[in-house]
Amino acid sequence: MIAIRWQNERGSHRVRRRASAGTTVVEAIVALVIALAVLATVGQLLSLAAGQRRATNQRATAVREAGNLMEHALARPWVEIRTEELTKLPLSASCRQGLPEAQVRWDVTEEDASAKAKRIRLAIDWQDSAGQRGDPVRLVAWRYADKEAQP
Amino acid sequence: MRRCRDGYSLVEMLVVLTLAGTLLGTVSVTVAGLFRAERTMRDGLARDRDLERFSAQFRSDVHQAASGTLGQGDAAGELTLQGPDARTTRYTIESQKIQRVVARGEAIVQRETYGLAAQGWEIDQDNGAPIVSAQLPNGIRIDAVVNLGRQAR
Repeated sequence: MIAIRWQNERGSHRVRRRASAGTTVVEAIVALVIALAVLATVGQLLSLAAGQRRATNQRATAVREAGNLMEHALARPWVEIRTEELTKLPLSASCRQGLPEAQVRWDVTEEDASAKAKRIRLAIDWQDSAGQRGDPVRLVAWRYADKEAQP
Repeated sequence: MRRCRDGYSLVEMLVVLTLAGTLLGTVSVTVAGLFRAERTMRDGLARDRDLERFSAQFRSDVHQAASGTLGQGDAAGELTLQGPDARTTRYTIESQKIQRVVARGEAIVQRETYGLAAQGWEIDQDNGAPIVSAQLPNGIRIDAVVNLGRQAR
């Protein structure tokens, strides 16, 4: 009540208007620029999350492909389990599509043990979105000789 | 005097309204993107979990089986794995899911469901031991050798 009377005594519309004004255009523009900067940061975070998701999917594809290739290798007759033979195994269409420039490396070595066995090592690597070849997916399996091939 | 009391010009209001509209549009697109990303990630994680569970179980069943047969006619979309012993493992494709039923003789001993939309099964015996494949959406396939290690040891 006192405040209203004081304002009326001042008698200036200009003072009253300035006191009740909300924001100036400059203030509004500054606020909008800050809000846009925040949104740009959120957008970058979303883009980063999408990139991570893509990288995870690529690794999952490589892990599946490694498992499938190893199954095909293990299905082969004992004498055909050699590096040169396994290198001929083709990559699946989904792997070629999902993993750019994918490369498979096989390495078969004979184990020096009582039972005749071969150690089959497989590594798949590919190019990521930055064009780099990251850590390959590796898988190792042992195949023991057929009964007739045993010493 | 009247001009001094005026708040904002029409141009100023238009500028502010345009900026506010742009901001609102960007906010709504960003929020919608966040929700979509969250939903996609949640669905993807659930699918990955089911796929991992399925591939481990499928490979284990096929490795232990002595043989595999594909269903014909009414039983199309069915894969039956025989063995070991008197055990029969049957994989059937239903709408948006795969069902696995393990039976000993007539008695069902285990039943499981995976939230995956399988497209079919394949048995390939080009060279060496037979390989059973589960074909899933997006070109995903899970291969497994029948009766793994049967000749070894």
